Amino acid sequence: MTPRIPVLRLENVSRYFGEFRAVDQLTLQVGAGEIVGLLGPNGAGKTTTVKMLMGMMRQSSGDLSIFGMDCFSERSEVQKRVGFLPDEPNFQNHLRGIELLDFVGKVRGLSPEAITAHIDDVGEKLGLVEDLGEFAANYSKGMRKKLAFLMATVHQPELLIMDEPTNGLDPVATRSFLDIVKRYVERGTGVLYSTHLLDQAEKVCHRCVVMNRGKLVAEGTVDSLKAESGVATLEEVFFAVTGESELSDV
Amino acid sequence: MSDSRHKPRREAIKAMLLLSWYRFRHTLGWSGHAVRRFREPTHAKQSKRSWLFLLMGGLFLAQGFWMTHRMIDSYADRSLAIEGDVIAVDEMTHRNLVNKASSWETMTDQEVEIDLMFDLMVSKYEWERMELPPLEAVDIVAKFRERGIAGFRSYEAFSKGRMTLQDLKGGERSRFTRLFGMIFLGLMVALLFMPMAIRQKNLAATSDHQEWLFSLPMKESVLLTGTFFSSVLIRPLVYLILWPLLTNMLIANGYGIPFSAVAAIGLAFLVSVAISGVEILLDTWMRARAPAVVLKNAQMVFSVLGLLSFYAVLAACLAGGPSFPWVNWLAMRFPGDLGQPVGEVMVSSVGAMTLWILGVAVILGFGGCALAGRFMRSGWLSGHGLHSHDRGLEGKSLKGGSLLKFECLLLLRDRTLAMQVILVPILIVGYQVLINPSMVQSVTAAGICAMAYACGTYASLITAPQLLMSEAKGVWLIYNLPVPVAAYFRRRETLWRAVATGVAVVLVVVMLFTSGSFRVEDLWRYLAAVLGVWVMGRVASGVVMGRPQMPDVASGEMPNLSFGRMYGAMMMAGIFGGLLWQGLVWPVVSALVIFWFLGVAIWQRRDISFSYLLEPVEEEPPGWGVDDGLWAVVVFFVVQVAVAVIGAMSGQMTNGLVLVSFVAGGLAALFFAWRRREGKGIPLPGIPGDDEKRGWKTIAMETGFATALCLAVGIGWTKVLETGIFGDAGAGGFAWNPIVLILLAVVAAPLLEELLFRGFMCRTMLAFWSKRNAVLGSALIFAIVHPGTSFPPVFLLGIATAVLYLRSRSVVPGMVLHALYNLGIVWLALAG
Repeated sequence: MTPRIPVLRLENVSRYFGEFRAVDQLTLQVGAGEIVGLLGPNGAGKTTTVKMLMGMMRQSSGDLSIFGMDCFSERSEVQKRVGFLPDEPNFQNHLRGIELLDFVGKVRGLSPEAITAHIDDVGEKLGLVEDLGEFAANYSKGMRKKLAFLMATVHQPELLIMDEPTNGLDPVATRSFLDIVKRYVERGTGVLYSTHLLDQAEKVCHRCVVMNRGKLVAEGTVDSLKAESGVATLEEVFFAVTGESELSDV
Repeated sequence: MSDSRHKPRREAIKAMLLLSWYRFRHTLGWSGHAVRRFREPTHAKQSKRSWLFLLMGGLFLAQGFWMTHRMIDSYADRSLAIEGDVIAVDEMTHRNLVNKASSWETMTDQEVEIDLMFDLMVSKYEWERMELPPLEAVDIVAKFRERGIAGFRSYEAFSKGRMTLQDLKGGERSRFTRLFGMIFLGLMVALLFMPMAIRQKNLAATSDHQEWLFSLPMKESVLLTGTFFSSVLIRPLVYLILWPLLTNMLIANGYGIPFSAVAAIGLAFLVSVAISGVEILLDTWMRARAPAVVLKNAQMVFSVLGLLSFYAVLAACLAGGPSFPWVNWLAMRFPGDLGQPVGEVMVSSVGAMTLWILGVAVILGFGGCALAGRFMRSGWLSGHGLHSHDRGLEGKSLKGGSLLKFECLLLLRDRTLAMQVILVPILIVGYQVLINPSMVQSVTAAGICAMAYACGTYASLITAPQLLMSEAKGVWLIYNLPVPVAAYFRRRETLWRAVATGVAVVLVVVMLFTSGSFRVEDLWRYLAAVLGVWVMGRVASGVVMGRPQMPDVASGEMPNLSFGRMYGAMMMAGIFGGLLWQGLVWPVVSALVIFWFLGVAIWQRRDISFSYLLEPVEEEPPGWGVDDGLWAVVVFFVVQVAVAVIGAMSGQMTNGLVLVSFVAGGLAALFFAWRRREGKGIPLPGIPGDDEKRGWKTIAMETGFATALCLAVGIGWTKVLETGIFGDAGAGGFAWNPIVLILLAVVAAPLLEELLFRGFMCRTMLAFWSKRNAVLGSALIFAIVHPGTSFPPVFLLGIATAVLYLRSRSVVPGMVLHALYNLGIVWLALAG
């Protein structure tokens, strides 16, 4: 694996909710053109990490930076180059898909032609174009995910942060979605891919970071993780490092 | 065998009680044991909310009791009687006369005002077809000029316990029962439609709440009955509004207070049964049968119907004064059958009233519920969504995406909101134009200002929260855009304010045009009304955006509004409206300045807290903002104004009242400002900044110099005022007890005002503004809450004490200066 220029960097980041440590001393990097999987069981702190990266929440301690800028205080600068796909995107009740997309594009300073071109390209591949005239509040979960992805990529971001991106997508949409992500990565976009779907992570990610109870418990390429734990699949690695192996035997 | 037969009924009752209990708890914001165990941090906030809810409910109830009491009194008791050389009039008219008499001397155009008042009074009695004594024989205008208020007295009313409704004469009783029927019907319409339109209800979409119910292992009939029963019990508006009205009705019928209160609750319950029956039928039937567009339009119409009926009821209840003779006119034309199905006995016996309401409740409530069963599943579970009917991009051009267009789109797409903001105010004025053109023609500048201001403020208080609620789901999107969140919300806020101010401007123009009563000297009032909407709009939207925590953004839950502050903003809006109505220049200008500062300050805090808007449990960022100090100043100002108004109204202001209110206002203000520093000690003298601390000798010299300067200017100004070039500058017009005056001016005022204006205001302003601006800003607010005639020396005093505060980093030198200054001025006044 060739070393890449880090676009996203977390150093000893912690986040407490009262006494509860949602994220505990997390250190993590994502390079340009790299897909890093953020794995972990429910409640491991993945979504909290993503929210801190998006400047929606402030860390209790540690440093988070994207392109060398602080995620919280320089949020709006950071957002110019980042695309974000939340776990459960919801939209304003009274706007249509196309209007939301248009709004996001205009705020990002894109021309109508660029937005249309994006719809023709990515929207077509995801099969959302027909539904763009519909009110986004009526979208199914999968459609909301697709619209949010269109919005996250409309400005050709240099870093994509995605929280459970294929959650709610059907198998066909999942495949075209993964193809599009790979295409972005080939152009040099860095991707932080938070998921608990291990087979997908094994297929897509260059490198994986496994979290459990807010702590980083394993990190490395899928192969190196397997080798370290001496097992055959990422799933087994996951059970080994999160301490759930006893349960898998039952 | 018998067990299995009884089981379903037991289950149903259990389900009904459980559903009602959960709804009740949700309404009050109480969390159960289970929730409390897991969510400690939010519990405190929730219990605070429930107390606020109770407090507000209590205030609302008290207001309801007062208003309906007033209504019944003024309606039942409307004769004009001549008793010797005294004329007996109804209580409201008497109060109007007292008010006029007290401000008689200072009125600019006495003749016009008094003629207008008596014309309206006579026409009111004529409208009501009262048996009038020959008015020519008693020239009331002459009597008023001759004897003033001594020539009149208030007629005995129900409140004095001298009579009951049965004592009314035939015609009067008939008018009263019709009026009662009209009000009751209006209330039923309002209480049915307002919640259907305004609550977070979307008829065109499946309600999550109902969907969830169907996942419970219960029969549909049980679910329906449970939902119905819980909505009968948990209907706060019905109980808060109807209980007072019915209680007062029964009291007026001669029943005792305890009996009336209990019986009225029972009657209100029956009414709630009727309303819930109709609501549940409309809710299921419409959802099942009507297409989405019709549902959205219906909801919009509901909101207009509900708000207008409520307005009509309010107008009818308050119609004791000369302003609304059409209410009586309408009452006489109201179909008697609706208001009195069992004759005039209806309102005069609790038994007849119960029978009548019970009949309606059984028919509407249980009938509606039974019918609703047929549409329940298809209605509640098959939401249409906000269908557009024209899917796809064909023929659609990309619409402009600027923030302004986006926002206007949101405003206009939400039909209910657009109706409430833009149409309702216009309709309210139109209502008067149609029903009572003569009233609109005779409307005064005060009336136009108050109406325009009220409608504009209503619009600004309703747009901001509604828009925020309707898009709580999409707030994450804003954090995903490369724009500063604070700037984004500020721009939206400006648009909301512009819409509200536009409403006010339109109303002023329309009413001026209809009444044709423009006078140049009233121009400032119109300007103040419009400016007031603009300024209060910022406060209102800032208050709405006040909570940095939105508990559940992902699930699209409504953001938790800060109800306490919202209520505070409403009260402030009301106070400003009152000042505008009175046409008092200096208080209006003062309030504008203070509210302007408050708006700026609140938004400074918002800019900080927006970064935390999506945080689920984090506390608001610590530290004071300028708004803390300003909230304190507002309390201080409000108490002073209130005391002045009460004193002017009752005509008897005692020294004790002033002293107590001053101290109470000051303490309330201090409490307000300290609250944010709970348990962290008194945050007094320390000042941020790098000033070198000066020695006490220097400070003492500076204090002495400043005292001399301020006293020289203050005494000079007093002499200028004595020349009378600014008109009469009398200090309040009542005799001060010298000891109280000295206590107040030399001890209480310096202590409290220095803490407030230097300790809080100046200090917090330093966090945001330069030293110069902090000194000038705090001095301006300090001067503005004092009487207008003493502005120049008090402004100088404010600057001097603020500079001393900065140089010494302590409020003590300022207190000394302030006390010496006040002593000098008071001594001058007492000696003179």
